Amino acid sequence: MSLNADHTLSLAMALRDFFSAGCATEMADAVPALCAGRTLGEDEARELEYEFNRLFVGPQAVPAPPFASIYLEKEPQLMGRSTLEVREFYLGLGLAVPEGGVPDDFLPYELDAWARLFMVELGEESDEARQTLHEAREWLVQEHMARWLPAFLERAAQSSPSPLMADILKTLENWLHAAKENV
Amino acid sequence: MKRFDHDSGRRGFLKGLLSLGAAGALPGSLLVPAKSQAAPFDASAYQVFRNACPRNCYDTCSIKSYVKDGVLQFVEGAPESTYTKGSLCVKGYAYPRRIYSPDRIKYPMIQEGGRGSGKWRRLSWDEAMDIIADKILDIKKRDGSLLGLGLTKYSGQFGIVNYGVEGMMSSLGYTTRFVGTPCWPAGIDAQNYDLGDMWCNDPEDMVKSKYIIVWGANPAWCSMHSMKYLYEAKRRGAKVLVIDPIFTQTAAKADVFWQVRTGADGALALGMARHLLDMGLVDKDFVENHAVGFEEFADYLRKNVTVEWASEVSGIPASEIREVTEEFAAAKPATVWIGYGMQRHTNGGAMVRSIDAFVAMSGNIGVEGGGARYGHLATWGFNYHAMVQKQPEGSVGFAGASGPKGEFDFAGGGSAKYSDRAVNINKTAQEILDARDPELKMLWISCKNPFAQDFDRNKLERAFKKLEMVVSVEQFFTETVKHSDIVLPATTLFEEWNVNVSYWHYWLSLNEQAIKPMHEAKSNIEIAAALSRAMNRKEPGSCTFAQEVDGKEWMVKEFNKGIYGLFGIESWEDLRNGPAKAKLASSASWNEKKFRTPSGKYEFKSDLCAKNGFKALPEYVEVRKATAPFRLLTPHVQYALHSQFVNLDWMEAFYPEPYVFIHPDAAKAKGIGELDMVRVFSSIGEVKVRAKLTKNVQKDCLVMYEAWFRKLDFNVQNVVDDCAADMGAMKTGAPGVAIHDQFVDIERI
Ligand code: SF4
Repeated sequence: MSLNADHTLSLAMALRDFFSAGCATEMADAVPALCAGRTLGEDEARELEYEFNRLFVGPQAVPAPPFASIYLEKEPQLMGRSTLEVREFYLGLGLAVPEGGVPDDFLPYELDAWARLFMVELGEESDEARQTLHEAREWLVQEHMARWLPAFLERAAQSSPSPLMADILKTLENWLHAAKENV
Repeated sequence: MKRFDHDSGRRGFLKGLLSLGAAGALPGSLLVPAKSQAAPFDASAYQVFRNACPRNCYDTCSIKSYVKDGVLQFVEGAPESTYTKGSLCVKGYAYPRRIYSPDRIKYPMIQEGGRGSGKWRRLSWDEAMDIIADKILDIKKRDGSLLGLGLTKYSGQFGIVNYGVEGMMSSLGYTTRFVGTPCWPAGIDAQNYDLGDMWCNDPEDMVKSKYIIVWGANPAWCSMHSMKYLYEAKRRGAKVLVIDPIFTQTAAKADVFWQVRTGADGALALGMARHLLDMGLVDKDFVENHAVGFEEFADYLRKNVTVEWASEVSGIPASEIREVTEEFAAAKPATVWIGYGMQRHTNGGAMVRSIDAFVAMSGNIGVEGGGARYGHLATWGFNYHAMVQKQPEGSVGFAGASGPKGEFDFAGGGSAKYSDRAVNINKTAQEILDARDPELKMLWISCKNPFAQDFDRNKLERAFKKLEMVVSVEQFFTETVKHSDIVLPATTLFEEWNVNVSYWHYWLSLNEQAIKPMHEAKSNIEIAAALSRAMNRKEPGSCTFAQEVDGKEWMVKEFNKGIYGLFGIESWEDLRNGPAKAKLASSASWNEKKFRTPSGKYEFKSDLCAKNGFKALPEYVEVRKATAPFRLLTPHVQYALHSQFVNLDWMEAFYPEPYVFIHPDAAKAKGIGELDMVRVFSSIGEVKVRAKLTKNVQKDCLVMYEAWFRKLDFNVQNVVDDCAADMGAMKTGAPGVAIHDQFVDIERI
């Protein structure tokens, strides 16, 4: 499927918001943009939160940690070489992850970087600047995100996601597809 | 893979576009402008930090940690310590893997829908502390005291500042404490009766020994840094005898191996003592001038003990007992390393006393290269600043005097009107079930994993049902976390400040914070401070713990002049250059032969021991009677420390699954083949596991190494009951536990 630029951008932001959500409300807020306007009741949102934590957060070992280095390192770990590579990339953009102990290659951070680049690119008039932004975004998607997100999606898919979660994961997959095509 | 082109012109251009407002309009953005000084990526820029392994391990290694870009890259043993000598064990080398494991607990979380439901919700630290504080205040209101709040904590994360957990409890009021230790209490009391304290020689002086008996310890796995002293002693001509019911890796390195019948070590030692007597090999000067009660003991031996009897009970041929005894007596100095394994019996303390007596008679106490080595706490004289906290004004507690709260309780009992309620850590389940007036309502668990380590797991599960709230402070999702309501993520050694010493060697190591805590992990004292903020917000004055703590400052506050003097350092900062070793007048403990017993001498006959309900002399005590066809041993494995480490992928690669080890003859009789799935069971529970056939174990014995596998529900505590050892109550607050007096049956499934 192909998505237009605005839609791809808003999906990136909604996915970012979903995967960085810390509670049911934040998750529920992101869902309409990810699942064709669907809204969740309180109970549904709560169940989604439990499932989200089972798949991505913990406290038990999770099947699909949302960190690039888990999939890109020879031996999966946090704060691997790929994490530092992403940190270097952000630095190149003059950006950094906020203070705290969350690795730089946390999925929402990467989506955020992508969205920023794309947003600026869309509004930029100079060809040269657009070209540079485009290259940066191309690296992020083709050379980085596209190398780990399929494995992440696969692991999540194999961990009996609910139909709702499966929908959200499908949206992520579609976004990745669009982001790859767009560049 | 292509790297992004960081050509400076372009990079600068991007930077301009993105950070100077061009993307300011992106709603809900997470990334922030990089600080201008953020310019790392200098390949040579390793920062080196000092750390100290806080595992409950003889070796307490001094670690050098290499950090680049804020990431711990690798660790090595500190070369400055002659003990650690540049190397770590397989567990220590796995540390980077451990802190960066995706499986670590990342956030405070609450389990809704019941314990074990798996319905976890994230909490902010403030929310978590509010819920906990509300519960504590609720208990206080209902009971009029905080005795309904219990703490179970042991040695999961050593380091002096971590006694702030006990401090946190005291700062709330008088609470219920699980006291004692499952580890070594029977032997501690035994050595206290005999010598007046537990105080071992410097292990590094084993190189001087001419004869070494390793009795019920497996240092090749559990104290690998000590092995070099055994090897060096051997190289210099010493003989090494290993006494163990299992043919261990250490036994494989020995000159002689005695596969003793489990729990018969005391009889064996007495037989050896009798032979010393018969051969006139007793050190007359020692027993006459530095000991009391020797004649009575000699009399006991003559009347009750023969080498033949000892042979019959222990399974070691009489001729060998005689030969080794004579060799041991002839070799000066000679030493016995008394392992903790051999005292985890209903007669454990009595057995340690028999071995002490044998070593004492041979004249090897107070001698460099000699000694009845068990452990020591001689270097632990810190301030315990984090631990010693005052109860809030008007706190009500348990009326009456307080006993010791464990072997590491250096705070001393005051003469306050109230005290904490002490319950036995080795009977966690039973104590929770039995607690009355008030009942135990809430349990705080830190530095401990009761479901992996406490006994009678099925009973523990029943007991936990009685609790209204369980809070676990953890790094990984253990079975205990599964049985908790709230979990709080704890820092690892690399993420906190601390200072650490050993109960075996004499080195002191600084533990610097080497990296920022991962995720939202906090140290124990930071958690205490957060709880104090919540408590005081809700009820001013309800918690006396500092509301802000600085880990480094609190570490510094543990030092005092005594420590500086003992280790010959000017300041803690000297430890940044490497660990320091205590300045010892002699490598031998008791070198002045001034004993800390009531008589001031070595006590073959201890009235104190008699007063506490045991025999005054180190007499033979029979071990627990069998209740099932096989004795079960559940010792430590090389790749784990209790439940720590085996859950890591690197360890799984070495040690993917547990086994029950069984002698081929026993297996044949039971129709069990190599790698067959079996059921190991007793009246309290069962374990399903695969069998391995080996002659390393005795025919009436099964061995399952204690460990926790993240993907398996293997747990040896299903079949280990909470039967007490004889001694331990005097010095640690509760008797030990007869971990190796367990009986099971086995069948193929
Ligand atoms: S577990 Fe023991 S031997 Fe291994 S690194 Fe830690 S202190 Fe050293």
